[in-house]
Amino acid sequence: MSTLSLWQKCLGRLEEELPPQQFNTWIRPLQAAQEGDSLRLLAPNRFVMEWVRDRFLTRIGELVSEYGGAAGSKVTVEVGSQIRRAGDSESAPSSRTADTNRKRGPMLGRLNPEFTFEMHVEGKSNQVARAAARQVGENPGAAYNPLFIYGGVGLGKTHLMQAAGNLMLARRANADIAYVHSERFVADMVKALQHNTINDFKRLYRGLDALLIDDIQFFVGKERSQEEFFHTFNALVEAGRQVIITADRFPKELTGVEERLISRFGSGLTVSIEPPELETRVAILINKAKQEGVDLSEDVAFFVAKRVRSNVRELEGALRRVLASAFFTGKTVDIELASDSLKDLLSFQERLVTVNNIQKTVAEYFKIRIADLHAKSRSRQVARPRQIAMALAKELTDHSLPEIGEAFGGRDHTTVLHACRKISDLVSKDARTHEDYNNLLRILTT
Amino acid sequence: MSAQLPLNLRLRDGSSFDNYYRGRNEEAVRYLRDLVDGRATRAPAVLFLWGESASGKSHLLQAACRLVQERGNVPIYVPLGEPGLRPVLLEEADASFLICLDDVQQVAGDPAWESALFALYELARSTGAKLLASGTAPPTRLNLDMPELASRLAWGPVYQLQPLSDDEKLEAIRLRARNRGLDVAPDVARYILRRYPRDLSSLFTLLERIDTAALASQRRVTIPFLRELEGFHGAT
Repeated sequence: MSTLSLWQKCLGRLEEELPPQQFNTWIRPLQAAQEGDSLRLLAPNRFVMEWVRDRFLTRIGELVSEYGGAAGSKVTVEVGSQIRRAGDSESAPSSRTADTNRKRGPMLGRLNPEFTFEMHVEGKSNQVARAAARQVGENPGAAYNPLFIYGGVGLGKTHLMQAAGNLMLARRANADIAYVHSERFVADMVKALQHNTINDFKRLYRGLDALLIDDIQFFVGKERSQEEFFHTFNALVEAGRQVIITADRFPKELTGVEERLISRFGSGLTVSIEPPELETRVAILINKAKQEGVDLSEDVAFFVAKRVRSNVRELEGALRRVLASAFFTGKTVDIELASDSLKDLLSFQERLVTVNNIQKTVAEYFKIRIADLHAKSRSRQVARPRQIAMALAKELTDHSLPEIGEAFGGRDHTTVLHACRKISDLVSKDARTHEDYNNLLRILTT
Repeated sequence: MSAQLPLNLRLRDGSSFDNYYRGRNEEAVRYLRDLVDGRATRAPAVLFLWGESASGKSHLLQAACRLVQERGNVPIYVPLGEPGLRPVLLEEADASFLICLDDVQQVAGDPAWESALFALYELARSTGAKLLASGTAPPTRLNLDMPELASRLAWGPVYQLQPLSDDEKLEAIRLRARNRGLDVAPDVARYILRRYPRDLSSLFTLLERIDTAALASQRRVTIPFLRELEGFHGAT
């Protein structure tokens, strides 16, 4: 009997005998290889290997004996794979050992060719960051070094950073540019320390022409990684190589990151990306749809953009869902289709965005009582939060202005209208109100 | 009747696309098939399925794993609610063809797991591994501590698995039975549906019992047969 059919038979029996969770977790990922008289099972990692060895190997051995007779009575399990992955030079099947890991060394990420300035949509929310990234792409190591881009999740920091990298590559094809997520930097460094290859690690990073390091907030509390990155950073900047860093917050707010590192981050240019405003979200949707070969009408784009406001990733996820619906049903992309395909997501969202919920969230945010939002008091301490809550209620719910006024202690609809205008004005002029309003918007819609 | 059954005979039919009744979830299943087949066009190759308990999330994730394995590739299935699992289970998972993360809500608030899932997502993006995840709510409503993980899980389409109506459950029972080589007439399926907890998981477990009993006694599945089946009434 061939290895494959022998193992297939064993799989069939094990599937009948084990609960599906167990079968799929431990048995399904195993690969089988014939080694003389024995069956060699390859597990994806040590954890699976040990679990299988301790709990299932005896039973597998019995089944192999039953189906394979004497020829297949010996079964072993080890870590390895028959499928070659990029960078592996061994002939299959291979056992992944410390030696092969050592040979592979730290893997530096490549740039995503789709993250270019041409594919990026400019708006008020990212104008400055985009201009800075372009400058850096055109004059690496000279314009702003480091370039520090910060902003909330899913707003396009990675896109801009990689667009700068891709621009550097377009101008100098042999430039050695690496995009690395901080999580990966930490993991690779730990691996290098374990395998005693830290010097290779240092050489690799310090020999780059540009290092793009994403989500630096993952360094928080990881002192050894910060230390290593500090030296890498200094070596690169001193040699006139470009460093681009992103984070979810302003450098000084990176509590748990060493002061000397924070001060280095601020030595170049620090720019922020804000959540995209409606018009930018519309443009992003139209642009993304175009990349998928779909001509998205403005009304559909507005429909989706008005409902998914948290970040660009979720906006793209929603668009994919609409386009998939159109593809599978053969229907035209119109508001009805968009509404239908996003129904489950939106109904979940709408269930949570009620006037009561807005009042509760705003009260918690400003540390006041919900009753204060209903009361007559005009003290600034409660009047401004009340106006913000009214503006959010108008923005996020379908209630009429009189209904909103009623929900805020029986106020007149003109009071609501005044509050909305006042907040709209302050959001564009006053940094504090701008931040409070956007924070609340994010809390309520994500 | 059940006393006649051989004790070690537990005929489980594994989860596959063939024995999944699609109902109003046709589109989610087609997207999933496209993802596994490599037809879902652009990156990121990620799909998130959410729905209430017993809405078929695990079934679909396991069906995808079966298909991938049958084609000679390696699938990784991680039921995050299972006790005893640790994040090291994810080591080298990015080298697999498909990574399935079942019940993501179970690790919400666990920094080690959230961080491991995030790292895996980033690695999978660079290796091209496809990611299929499930939960009881959309990604951004799972109470994950890492918003960057939630937003990444929502980067691809997010589908709610719609619960089946009673009529659809009836069809689902019959389809599942047919795939086991068992003929269950509509009136028999209706009889089952009226007398047993109506969540699909319980219904399919019951079907396994009925099938095993029918096989042992060499009888067809009829209403009188079900009435004779020990314990069946006890469940009403």
